[in-house]
Amino acid sequence: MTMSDRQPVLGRRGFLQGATAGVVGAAALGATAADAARADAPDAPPASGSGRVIPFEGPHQAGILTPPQAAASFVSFDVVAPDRAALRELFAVLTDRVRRLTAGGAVPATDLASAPTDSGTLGPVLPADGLTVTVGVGASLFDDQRFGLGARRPARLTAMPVFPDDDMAHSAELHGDISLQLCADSRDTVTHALRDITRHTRGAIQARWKIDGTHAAPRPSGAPRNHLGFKDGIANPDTTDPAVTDALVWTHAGHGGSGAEPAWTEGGSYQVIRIIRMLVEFWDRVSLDEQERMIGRRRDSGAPLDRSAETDTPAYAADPQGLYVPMNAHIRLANPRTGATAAQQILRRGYNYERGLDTDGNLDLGLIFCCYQQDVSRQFATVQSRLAGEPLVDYISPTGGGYFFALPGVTGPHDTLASGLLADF
Amino acid sequence: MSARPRFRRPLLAGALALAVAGGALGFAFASGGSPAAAGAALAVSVDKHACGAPPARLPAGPVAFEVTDAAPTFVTVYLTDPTGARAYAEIRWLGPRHSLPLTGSLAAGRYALRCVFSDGPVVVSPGLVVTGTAPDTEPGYRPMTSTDLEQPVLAYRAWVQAALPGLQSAVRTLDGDVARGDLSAARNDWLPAHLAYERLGAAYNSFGDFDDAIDGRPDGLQGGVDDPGWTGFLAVEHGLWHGAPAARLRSLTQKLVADVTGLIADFPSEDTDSEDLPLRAHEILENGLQFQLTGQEDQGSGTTLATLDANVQGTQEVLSLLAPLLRERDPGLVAGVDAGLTALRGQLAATHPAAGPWPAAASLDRATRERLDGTLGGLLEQLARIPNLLAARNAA
Ligand code: HEM
Repeated sequence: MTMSDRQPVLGRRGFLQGATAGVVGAAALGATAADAARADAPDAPPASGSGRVIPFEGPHQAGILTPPQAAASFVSFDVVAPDRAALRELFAVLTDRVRRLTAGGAVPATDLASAPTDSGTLGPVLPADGLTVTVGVGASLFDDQRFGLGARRPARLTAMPVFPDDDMAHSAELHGDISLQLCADSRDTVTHALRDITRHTRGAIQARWKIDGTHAAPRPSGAPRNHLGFKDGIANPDTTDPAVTDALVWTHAGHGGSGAEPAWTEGGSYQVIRIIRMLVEFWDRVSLDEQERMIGRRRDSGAPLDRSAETDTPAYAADPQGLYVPMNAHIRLANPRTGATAAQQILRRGYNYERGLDTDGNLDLGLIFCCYQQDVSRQFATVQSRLAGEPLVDYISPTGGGYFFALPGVTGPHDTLASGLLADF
Repeated sequence: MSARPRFRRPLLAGALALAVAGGALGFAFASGGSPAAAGAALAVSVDKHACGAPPARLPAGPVAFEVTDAAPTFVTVYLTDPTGARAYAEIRWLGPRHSLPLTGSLAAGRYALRCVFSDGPVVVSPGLVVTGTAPDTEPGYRPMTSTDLEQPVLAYRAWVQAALPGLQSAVRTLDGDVARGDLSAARNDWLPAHLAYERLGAAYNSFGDFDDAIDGRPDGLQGGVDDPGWTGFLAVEHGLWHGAPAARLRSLTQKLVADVTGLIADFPSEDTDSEDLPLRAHEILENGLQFQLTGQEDQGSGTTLATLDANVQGTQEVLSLLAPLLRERDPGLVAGVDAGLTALRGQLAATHPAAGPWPAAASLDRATRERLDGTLGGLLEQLARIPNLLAARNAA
């Protein structure tokens, strides 16, 4: 089947039937760049939303260096598509959907014989609304005989190990073949995108777990606060400095000596997702002084305990006994700020979550911890191990998550996600 | 099953309104812009013998008409080729002095607007020539008339009719077990009887109130599973697997036999709406996903996967009757759906040894459940096309 044979309705026929086509044309639903241009024309109804368009194409995926948008969903999927050809088709469809959704534009007309091309939850003109969809792959995708990808596994990609303070024995929210991090300037844009993507990939991937997050507004300024009342997201590597992101965030082909990264991983990044419940009722019964010494920062201002402003850098060398910032404070363990630990820094991109109650009627509030890094074992796993047994662990409960590898970016209109991973078979 | 959702779609097939003849349509046109860009509309006035007067030429791509019914009667408006052999877009029901958009995306070719007034007249506009190329244009479909469905509906009713005696003898066996007080035999004989009914899944709408009595769920009843008004297969199941005494069960199985017998007597006089058959082709398995694969309908026997398998068989039967009509309109669809149905049955069969019991839906391991969910979900996306594809478009 060639592109011109493809009818617009094919995209609506369920995934597997579309799998007979080698190419995903600009046929299915959603908005092409031209639609987007038309949507901006004076006679077109205006798109709602923030008006932000975050470019989809680039050497790296969007949603990693992108400052956190207001709303997010993290969704893990398993691939149920039967073989590598279907996997390739899946990534082509995924690329097409993400490209269209992040561009925004008028919803295409509905074919006479089909259900509407779009759920309609964002109205007739899709707003780009700062949407990013970041796609990762889990170790299980490389695990078995399914797709024959074993030799292409990113060198540091494993299933997320169990850490000593974890509460994951009965978790239903662990691991997965594919992760989607969807972020946008408003909640309904995130939900719309997810619904569109699952519809177009039905029969190829099946959702495994999902958690929704919110990026709070600054109270009153600076970094937003997490459910413990502390500003979160203050200290992070400088994402505007390519030398820093090259050294800490992006994976490079051939790096890593004996266990060298395969060529296709260039420009990708390891993604760690941890669902960490916060026992807020317990936390609220703890004195402010104790709270602050656990974190290592003032609750009100966010300043390190040895300084006065949120953006001040703690000077641990001048406080070798931890008289200001205790040696076991969260921020001091997480980043001792020494030469030896500099390469262990991670790019945190977390969201607060809130969902219902536990069996005791306590609030299920927490952090969707998400971080990106060049090397998950050198960075996240090392930091996490250093945090083992920190005083904060009594007030938090990690209940799920996974390790994924965020794919390299889509570099042009004919490129697709995972093109490198699936090249030359 | 009680409270089964009745998925509503507009029923226009037989809509023959009574009002006076004739009519005029006012059209406003927009082209080359997004379908939503009605702001660029070009108004065209028409007289009562013309179904609008669209521009003679338009560029390929999205078109949007704002159609006003200036006639005193309701009208259905189609965008077709000049002969009406293919329909591309439609307004299913437009009232006098009301306006609705008619949108589509057209490839190069010749087109016309076709107005089918509710009181009979069919009026076609002058031709409209589309030139150039555009992405995402619509292929159009061969419109169907309501009489096209008569034959499949007759065949379907004959199939149900032929299956009902088997259902009757299966519920009699079940009732006999309970009458003897042999509840262990009853637990064995319950499933074949239930499946004999579930295989007819397509029929629940044609069975009227009998379906509630024969296969109702407790969810919509004040007393839930303890509600004295709950009867049928699921009530019997609940009793058999929750230690109900034989005497209580007997009243339920006797009622079941009576209701099935009543159904058999009644069925010949119950109508089957022709639009129901295409709807069922899609919706039997929507219910299968919602109630069976989830295990929600399980009343203790843990056999909802067997029920789902019976629902797949029912869908296969309906599909086989509709296949000729579908093939004429969308050749690939039947093959895709057939493959999906076969794959689903294969995956269901693989959940248990050939002669062994079905596993409860709740006990499926994650990988098996995900595969079943994926296969059924993908199938439903395809089946969803059938009702619209086979909607009656009389005189289009
Ligand atoms: C619910 C669990 C957690 C809470 C409540 C929490 C809270 C905080 C807070 C309040 C800060 C200070 C503000 C800031 O610099 O952003 C912080 C910093 C930090 N946290 Fe966490 N955190 C949690 C989990 C983790 C985990 C799992 C890791 C990594 C394994 C981690 C690594 C870091 C790092 C690297 C910093 C920055 C330290 C610095 O550079 O000064 N945190 N965290």
